[in-house]
Amino acid sequence: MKWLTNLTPEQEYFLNPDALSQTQLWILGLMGQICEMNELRHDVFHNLGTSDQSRQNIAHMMKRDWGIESREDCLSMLEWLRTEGHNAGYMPQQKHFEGLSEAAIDAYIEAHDHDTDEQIRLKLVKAYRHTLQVGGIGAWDFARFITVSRWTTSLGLLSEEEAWEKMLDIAQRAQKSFDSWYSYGLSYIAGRQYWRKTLSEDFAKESTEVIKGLTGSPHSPWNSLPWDLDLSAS
Amino acid sequence: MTCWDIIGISPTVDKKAIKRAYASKLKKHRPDEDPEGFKQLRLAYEEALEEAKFYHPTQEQSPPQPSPVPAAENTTAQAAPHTQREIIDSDRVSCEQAVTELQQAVVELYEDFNARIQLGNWQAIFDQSKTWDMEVLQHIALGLLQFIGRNPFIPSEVISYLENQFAWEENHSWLQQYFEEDFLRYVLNRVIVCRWGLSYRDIRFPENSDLETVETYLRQRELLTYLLDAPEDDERDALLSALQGHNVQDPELYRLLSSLYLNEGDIARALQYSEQLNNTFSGNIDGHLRSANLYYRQGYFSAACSAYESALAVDEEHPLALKGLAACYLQRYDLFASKHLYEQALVQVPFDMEARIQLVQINQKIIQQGLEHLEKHPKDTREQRYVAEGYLETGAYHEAIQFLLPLTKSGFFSKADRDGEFHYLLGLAYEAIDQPEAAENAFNRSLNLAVMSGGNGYEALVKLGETAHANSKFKWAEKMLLQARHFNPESSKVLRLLAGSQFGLEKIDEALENINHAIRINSEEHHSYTIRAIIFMATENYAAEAADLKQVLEYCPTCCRHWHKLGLCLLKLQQPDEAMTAFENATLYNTARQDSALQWIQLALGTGNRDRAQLALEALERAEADPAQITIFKETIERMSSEVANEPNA
Repeated sequence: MKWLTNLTPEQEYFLNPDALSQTQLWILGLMGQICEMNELRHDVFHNLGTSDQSRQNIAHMMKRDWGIESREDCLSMLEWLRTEGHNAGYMPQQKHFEGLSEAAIDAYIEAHDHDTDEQIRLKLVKAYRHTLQVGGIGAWDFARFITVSRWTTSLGLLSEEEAWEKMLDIAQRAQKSFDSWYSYGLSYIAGRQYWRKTLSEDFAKESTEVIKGLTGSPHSPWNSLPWDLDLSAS
Repeated sequence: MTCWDIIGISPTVDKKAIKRAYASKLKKHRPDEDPEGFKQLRLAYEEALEEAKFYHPTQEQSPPQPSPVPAAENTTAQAAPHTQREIIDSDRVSCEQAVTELQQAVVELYEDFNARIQLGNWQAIFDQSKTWDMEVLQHIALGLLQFIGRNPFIPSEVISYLENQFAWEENHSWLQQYFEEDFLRYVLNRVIVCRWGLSYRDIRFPENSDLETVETYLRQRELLTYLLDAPEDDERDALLSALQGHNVQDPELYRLLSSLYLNEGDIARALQYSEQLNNTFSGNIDGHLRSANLYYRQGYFSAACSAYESALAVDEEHPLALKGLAACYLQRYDLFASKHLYEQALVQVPFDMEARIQLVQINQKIIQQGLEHLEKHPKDTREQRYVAEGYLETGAYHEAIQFLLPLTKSGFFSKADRDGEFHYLLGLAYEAIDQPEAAENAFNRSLNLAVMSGGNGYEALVKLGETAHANSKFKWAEKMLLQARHFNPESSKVLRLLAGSQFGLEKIDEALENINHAIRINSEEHHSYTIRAIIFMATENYAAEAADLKQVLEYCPTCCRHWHKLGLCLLKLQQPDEAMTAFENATLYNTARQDSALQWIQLALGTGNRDRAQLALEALERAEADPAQITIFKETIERMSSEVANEPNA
């Protein structure tokens, strides 16, 4: 990430300006790829700002992308992400494939040639079914849970305290479902591919650049925080 | 034998083509199975990459000659013997007789399991059905559907063949006259789902198994598939014991049992059945993949490695097996073997992010290993290159620059960069951190060094062309890119950049020719459609421009700039409603877009669409447009509202 590379010691002083704990930084790190994509800071809670203009932009974005206009909308969206999300669609397909032979999987995908979108999703499941056996595309939902919690808190729809409480619960689940930032990162991108219904090579290359942003900077959460950090420590 | 002969392609500057060819050959020379072959291939690969830098296509090369057309084969002489069973002869027998004979033939065929699973036997009965009398055809279509409903254990290829002959799905409403809806739905559903249903191949029943035993086994085997979804079924134990009591050797049974136990968390038994599958049916890939995955998850990497190799022996391009084997090599810290396998997997499945992320991890390890090596052998240029590439591949651009700068300074280590490769890598690093001037200098130096050493400097040429194009130095860009095209006429990227530069120089025809060529080579590259849309806009071919913009937006649906352009284009095509939607989308993805909001509101007002005008006004307010302008629009909308209210029928 551009703002985080090659810092002088003085500049480094301003890293983590809100003095967040390691656990809090780890939790925010779950939306690391979203921050990289949008060139946002990893280490401040309100990373879209809290000015009136910022709030107006967040409000527009929340309405446009999430249909969130009130606290109720927000809570219901978070609940959906926590209990279902897109992983609820992915996992049954993956489970179905586990019971099929390789030839049957190909035949099943072939039989969906009338529905291109579904066929794309099935091809993604086919490609990732061994690696994402346990967590599926859960990281895609977890990261968006953190995003919605963080930005709706900037809007005042959640208090910071309740946002941290909710996010910690998700973080603990994420930590159990994956074994490294890399496997979490794969699950996130696979989820994004699944949602976008894309098998594009360009999309994969662009996503790899985002990953490089996280692996290339010593200050990124992937390099500065261990995946197995004890999250019970406040 | 040249390196090109070994990797199996003609000389080229295209590194991707070399990698692809290498990956393809690697299947036959795996490092663990054929170390000598692998070594030779690896050397050839590196040599090819090296030679690519010096490759110059010569004018003397003659165009490829068309292959001689083989003489037409004497098909009559080789025609298959006539095996059609002549049951139907409308002139000879009555319809009733024909139907009876056909039904008898089907029953006889079904009763012999080994005969029933051969498609050819069904074809022998039904291949001439299209010539049958309509009455016979209808009777058989109905009878056969009923037969399948009651005797469903027929392979999918046979069912598909019969469906193709009798078109039951298409004639659903006709069939409703003869069958109960539930029965019909059951059979037609079976016609569909059997395509991915259980296979009947390689089943070995004990000798003297009668039809009833066979049918009972097949029914119970299907019930087992339901157990996978409902493991706590009361009948589980009875079913498993019945299935095992048949003493049938069946790859599907072993696979299903392995899945069942895996679902139940009994890894040992899951492995036992996948191993049984491998031992009894070694040509079946399912068991090898399953065992490999289970061994890997248990941490038995050597066993996993062997199982993945067995899977690759069955299907040498299977992406899961390639990735699995690569992961095993990574566990053994065999970085280059692992890297090559992941690259090979990417050739099979270019969208695979697992392989891409693993490659980033491997590069991190390669840097570490390389730096340790360089402490002892500081002048090893190959290792220096690995480290520098590793830094770039992991996004550590500042580290890459720090590492490369001493290697690119003249004097000290100057021999290291005889062909300009380190300067090229340095240019890439500068480019990644947005230092275009430093990048351009490095690319220029790289090109000079390459040319001085007799090379072509192809990659530096492309980069210089790209940089010049980005900075609107079109003449220079064209010069660089024409040279690059000379070395690689089939690079869609070069053609696209060249087209963009030529458009900048107002060479429209040449630009169009090059961009069309680029799209022919790679129709999924959305940047090419962007360039072509711009050319179409300039030539006022709005319909074509709109089509290309839609193509771009399909890839990048949140790109407000393209939505705005599409709106303008649709306006030219006099499609105001669609144009409004495009402008609306532009404001949706960028709230600051005053120009889109303005177009939208003007269109809405122009077409008398008050509701959309109101929405557009809100977008204009969000974009912080001139308050005086907003007031005027507000008043116009209010006026529209009151006019509507005052209409007699309002």
